[in-house]
Amino acid sequence: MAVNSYRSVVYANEENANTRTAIAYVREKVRQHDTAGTVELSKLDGIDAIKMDEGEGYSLYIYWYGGYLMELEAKDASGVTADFGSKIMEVKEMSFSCDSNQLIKAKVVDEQGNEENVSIGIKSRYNKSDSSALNEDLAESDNAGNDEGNAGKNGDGAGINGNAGINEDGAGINEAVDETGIDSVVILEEVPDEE
Amino acid sequence: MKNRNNGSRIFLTELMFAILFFIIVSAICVQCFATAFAKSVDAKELTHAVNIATNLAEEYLASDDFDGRTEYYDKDFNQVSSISEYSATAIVIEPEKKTDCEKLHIVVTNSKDEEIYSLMVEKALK
Repeated sequence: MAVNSYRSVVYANEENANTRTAIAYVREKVRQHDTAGTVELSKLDGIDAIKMDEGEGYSLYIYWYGGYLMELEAKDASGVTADFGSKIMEVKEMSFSCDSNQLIKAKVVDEQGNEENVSIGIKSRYNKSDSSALNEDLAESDNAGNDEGNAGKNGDGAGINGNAGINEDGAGINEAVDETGIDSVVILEEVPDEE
Repeated sequence: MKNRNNGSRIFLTELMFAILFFIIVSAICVQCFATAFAKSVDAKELTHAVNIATNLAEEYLASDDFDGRTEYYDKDFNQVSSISEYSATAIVIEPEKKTDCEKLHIVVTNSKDEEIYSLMVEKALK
C-alpha cells in the first residue's frame, strides 16, 4: 500500500512537471524572439517547426523529432537535418498550426498520453508568412518618414528613406513594436552625418 | 514463579509500546502520503488552469475581435462543448474612459464553482 501511494504521488508529480516544462519552454522561446517578422512556422528537414530568426543569418528551430522536443540553432540554408538538434525532453507527440497569422497553436502530448494545447500570440504583429501585411506597413512607415523629411526636419529637405531603418538623409527611421502588440510606433531619431 | 511473571509483564509492555509506536508512525506516514497526493492533484489542476487562462489571454491579445466566452473541460482537461468538470470564463470589460485600457478577466473554476485560477489582462485600444 505504501509503495503504491508513493508511486502514485511520484507519477502525478512527474506528469505535472513534464506537461508544464514542455508548455513553458515553447511559450517562453517564442516570447523571447517575438520581434517584428522573426517568428514563423516553417519546415526543417520536412518536419514542422517553429522558426525564430536569431539575426546574422541564424535561426532557432523548435520541433518534434524521434519522440523528443528538439531545439536547433543553424545557419539558414546550411542543409542541416532534424537529428542535429539538441534533445530538450521526451514528448510523445507535438504539432504546430497557425491561426490568423497572429496565433501559433501547438499541441503537445506528453509521455503519459496527456494532450495539452498551447496558444502563443505573436505580439509583434508581423509574421514572415504574411509578408504582404509587413510590406504594407513598412510602406506606411516610409511615407511617414518622407513627410517628416520634406518638412525640413534635417534642413536639406531631400530626406527620402527607401527602407525603414536605413539612413539616407541623416534621419533614421526605426520601427518599434510595443509589447502589447497593439500599435506600431514610428520613431524618428537624429543620426549624425558621417561626413 | 514470581520472576517469570515479571518477565512476561515487561515483555508485554514492551510489545504494546512497540505496536503503539508503529501505529502512530503509520498514521503520520499515511497522512503525509494523503497530503502529498492531494497537493499533487491540486498542482495538476492549477497547471492546467494556468495554461487554459494563458491560452485565452494570448488569443485576446493577438486578436482585435475577441468576444468573451466560456469554455468547458472534462476531468482530464480536454475541451468539451457542454457543462463539465471545469469551466473557464473570459469576460471583456470595456474601459470607463477612452484613455483607459480594455480588460479581460479570466476565471477558471471547478464543478463546485470554486475558483482555481484567475487572470486579468489589459490591452490598449487603438
